[in-house]
Amino acid sequence: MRLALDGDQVAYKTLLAALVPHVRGRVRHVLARSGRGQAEVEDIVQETLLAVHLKRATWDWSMPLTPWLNAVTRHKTIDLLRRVGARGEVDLDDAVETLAAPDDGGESQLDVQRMLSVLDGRQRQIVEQVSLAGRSAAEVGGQLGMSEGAVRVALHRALKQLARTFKGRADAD
Amino acid sequence: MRTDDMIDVLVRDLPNQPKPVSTILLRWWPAAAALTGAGFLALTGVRPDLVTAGLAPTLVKLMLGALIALTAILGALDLSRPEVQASAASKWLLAVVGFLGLVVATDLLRHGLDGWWARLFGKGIVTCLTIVPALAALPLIACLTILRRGATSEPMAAGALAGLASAGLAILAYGLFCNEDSPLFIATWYSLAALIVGLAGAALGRAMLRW
Repeated sequence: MRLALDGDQVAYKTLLAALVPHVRGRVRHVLARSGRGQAEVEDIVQETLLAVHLKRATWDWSMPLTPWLNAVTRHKTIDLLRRVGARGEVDLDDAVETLAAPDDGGESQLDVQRMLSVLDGRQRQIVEQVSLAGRSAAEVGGQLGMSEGAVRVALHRALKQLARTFKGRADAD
Repeated sequence: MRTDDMIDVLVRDLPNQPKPVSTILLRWWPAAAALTGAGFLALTGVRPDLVTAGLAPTLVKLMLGALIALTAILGALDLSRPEVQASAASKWLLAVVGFLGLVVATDLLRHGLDGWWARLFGKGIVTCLTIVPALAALPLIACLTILRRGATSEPMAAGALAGLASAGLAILAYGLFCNEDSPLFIATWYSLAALIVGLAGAALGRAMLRW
């Protein structure tokens, strides 16, 4: 984690990938304990990853990572429970479905297009290029006629916008 | 969106390293307080007898303000980490309670109970309860805005600590102006002014510090 936060992208990717099963396990556990369906597990996992990324400066390097990660996961899970709780919705079908369903490799319920639709054209292009096509910031910059730095800034703004959108859904419900 | 795709996006964003909350807070929050404090003192001036009769009580006020500001801001910074509980972050405030106890005890030991009523109710109550919150408003907004970068699990408690800390800084400026010198007055009304700002901070924190 320390290496990753120093800016080592390979280490960071390995770290995030390693966190996913842990986070997913915690989310499932909390949802199951509160009698909720498991349909939104992957949404919460992704919201948690986004929060881990944007709030990574709040982890104290001298402390173990797990309590911090669990607190972020718990916060995001409770956020969703509050949302769903407000609607008073317990979907038994979801629970049954999840019990029966094999691990789908982490496909979120959120439709890509719907999620990205909150971004403006340029931001959306950048996220699509980086995420779906797996291009580097420099490549995307060359293609769109932007500097690598500008692409990074735009990407960062796009991520914050996504986080705000997640949040907005919570507030609206 | 697949979780793996999201990880790729986040990895590309790694070069945007966020700065620690404390770095930004300790730069801008005291600056906001200094600005309002200096503006206030430029308008009203410090008390005329500051370095003569007013010196000892003013030192008590400055110590109280500094102690509240320090303990509360350390707590607020601590509480900007998601795994920290409000009780752990607020424990330093016990030092303030201890100091207040000492101030009240000094007063009662020196003057006894005779005339405590008069020592408690000075003429400056309304001034104290309005000017301290007014001076704390800008630092509080600055503090909360910066704390939004944090990730607290307890927005109300974090907001309350931000309010108390900002009131502490406001007291540093107000204490140079105020000429109510009874320890009973200081312990009671300065604390109440700080609590008012703390309540405002809690209400604002609840709305502003969600993430």
